[in-house]
Amino acid sequence: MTSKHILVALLEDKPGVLNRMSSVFRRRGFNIENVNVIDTINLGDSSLTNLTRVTIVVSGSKAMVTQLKRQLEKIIDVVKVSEIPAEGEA
Amino acid sequence: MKMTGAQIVWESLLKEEVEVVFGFPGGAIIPIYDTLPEYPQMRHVLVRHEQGAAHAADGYARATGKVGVCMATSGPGATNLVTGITNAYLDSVPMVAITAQVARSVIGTDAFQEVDTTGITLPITKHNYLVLDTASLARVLKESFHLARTGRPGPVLVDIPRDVLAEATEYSYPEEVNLPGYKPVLEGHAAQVKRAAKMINEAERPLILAGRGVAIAGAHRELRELAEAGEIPVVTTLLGIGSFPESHDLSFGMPGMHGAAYANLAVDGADLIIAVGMRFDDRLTGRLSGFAPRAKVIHIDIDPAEIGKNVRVDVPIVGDARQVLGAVVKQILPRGHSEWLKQLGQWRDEHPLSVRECGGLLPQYVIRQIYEATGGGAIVVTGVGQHQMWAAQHCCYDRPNSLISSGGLGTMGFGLPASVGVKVGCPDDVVWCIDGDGSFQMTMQELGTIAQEKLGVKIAIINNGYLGMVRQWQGLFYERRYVATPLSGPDFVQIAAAYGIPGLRVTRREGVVPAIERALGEDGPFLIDFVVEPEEDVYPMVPPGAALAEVIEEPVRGEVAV
Repeated sequence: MTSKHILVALLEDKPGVLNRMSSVFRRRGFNIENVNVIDTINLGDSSLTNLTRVTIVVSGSKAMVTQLKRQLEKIIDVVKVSEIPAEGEA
Repeated sequence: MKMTGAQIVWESLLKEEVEVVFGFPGGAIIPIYDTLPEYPQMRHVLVRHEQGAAHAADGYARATGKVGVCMATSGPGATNLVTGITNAYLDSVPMVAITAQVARSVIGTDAFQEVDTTGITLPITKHNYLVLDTASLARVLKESFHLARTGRPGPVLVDIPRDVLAEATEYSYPEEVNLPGYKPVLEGHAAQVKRAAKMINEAERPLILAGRGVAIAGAHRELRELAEAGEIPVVTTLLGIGSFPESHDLSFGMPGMHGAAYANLAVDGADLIIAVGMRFDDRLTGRLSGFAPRAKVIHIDIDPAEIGKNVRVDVPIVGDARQVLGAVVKQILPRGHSEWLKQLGQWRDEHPLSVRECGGLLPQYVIRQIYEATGGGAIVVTGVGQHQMWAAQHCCYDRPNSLISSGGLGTMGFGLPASVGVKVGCPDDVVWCIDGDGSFQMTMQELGTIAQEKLGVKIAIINNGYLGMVRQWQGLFYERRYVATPLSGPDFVQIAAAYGIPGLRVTRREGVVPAIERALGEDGPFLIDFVVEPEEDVYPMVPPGAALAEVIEEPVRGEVAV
């Protein structure tokens, strides 16, 4: 069953890192519906330095999105990926 | 100490205990080559085409377990590496590729021999770097070797602008790496290990399916302990061949598209598959919905992204194959599976891998004779195609890494340059390059490397005058329309002779053994052109889209089989 998923990724703040990430979406056949990128310096959390936070909305089955998440986690410059509940979920 | 970027490259390679680099110079990379004479302990093997450098580094890495290193110049040097890097990526081979780039000041201007090397290689490397700051070069190289050899190994590319190579900076090699996004899990989750052991202990018809991860992790001993403790039969993937001795009573060969029928029946009949260090490639599984229909699946792999990618898994265990198997085996209750083994033995007796009777020269016969003559002691390196499948089927591999072959990418032309790397890495081993006439012609310029480096590689060309595997498919699925597959070749013996390499042509059965003995008697390289039956096909075969149990054992000559 296809539904919307929100993935939040913390990336090392390095040139080309967004390309690495979007390349996985392209390669694995996912369409990015919405993307938001922010340097974590603007989040006011001192535990997050030299990082970029990317929030992405994609559609797909749960299994497909789990696979996508694992592929993203394989990127060396990706520090962490988590899924947050999409609208309408608990 | 102050050093130039070029010197830092060599110093770093020495720190990583690199003994040999396979490469090809060009304009942008001259600074690296210019400093090579300062490092006489470093061996450089000059290939004839950069693809050969990557394949040689790949063969070297598979045969030795060390990181293979290749280097090339900017532009076409880098793009020529691409096939070889991809091959290493698909087969999880540890490799560091070093390319030169145009000077920083002209990057992005389409300068002479400028390409976006890191852009091109992004999806085919485990990681890559463009070094824009000479001070970061040592750290980048340290990280590259760490990434290449740990976790699921793979190729890492380092692209270095020529002015970075020329610039001097303070050099010290870092002791440690700091990669917050890279923490491979080595130890299996204890609860999952316990569940797996319980499942194994309860299974009636368990089957171990071992892949290349066993060889990478050096888990041969643990694998054998598990098989023997639980009396569990073992089949291997193409790249898993040799990770369990094929002469062992519990070995039942290779399943898959051209696997033994009895191995495919074993997968079909099992009630538990214990998959170790493998990724359920489609050439292995056949139609997924028909794969191991009676079995629960335990999947042990170091790459979490492989778990559940193709096959539903009942017990996933992320970790290093050696550590996980070592933990599982401690909880295995000794028990027999005599009924199951009897069934497997019966299938093997009823469906043997045989060679048909034929007055002509059959490729399978040639490969069996090469195996017999070397008593199984050789390392066999192959190209891709029919000869590759026959080499996998008709030799008995008892040692890890004794078959070196291109699996995931299926790269024709891999054989000869890979055997360069294998022989450099294992100079005391007998190395046979079993190649097809099509595969060989893709990279046969590496005969020049073999001659220049005086590498005693023995080359057997299985010459059927066709791009045989494609012709086989045309015969089976395209009503024998042999379009663009008949292949004329040069006189391979004369080609070898032109490089100063002796050779023989064999057209009859009687000539096979004497020619092989002659080759083995030579200290240096030797080439044999075996002119074989032109339309011999590879069987057994699981047709594309079929389940493993639907394996076709006998040729259906002149008819469409499916």
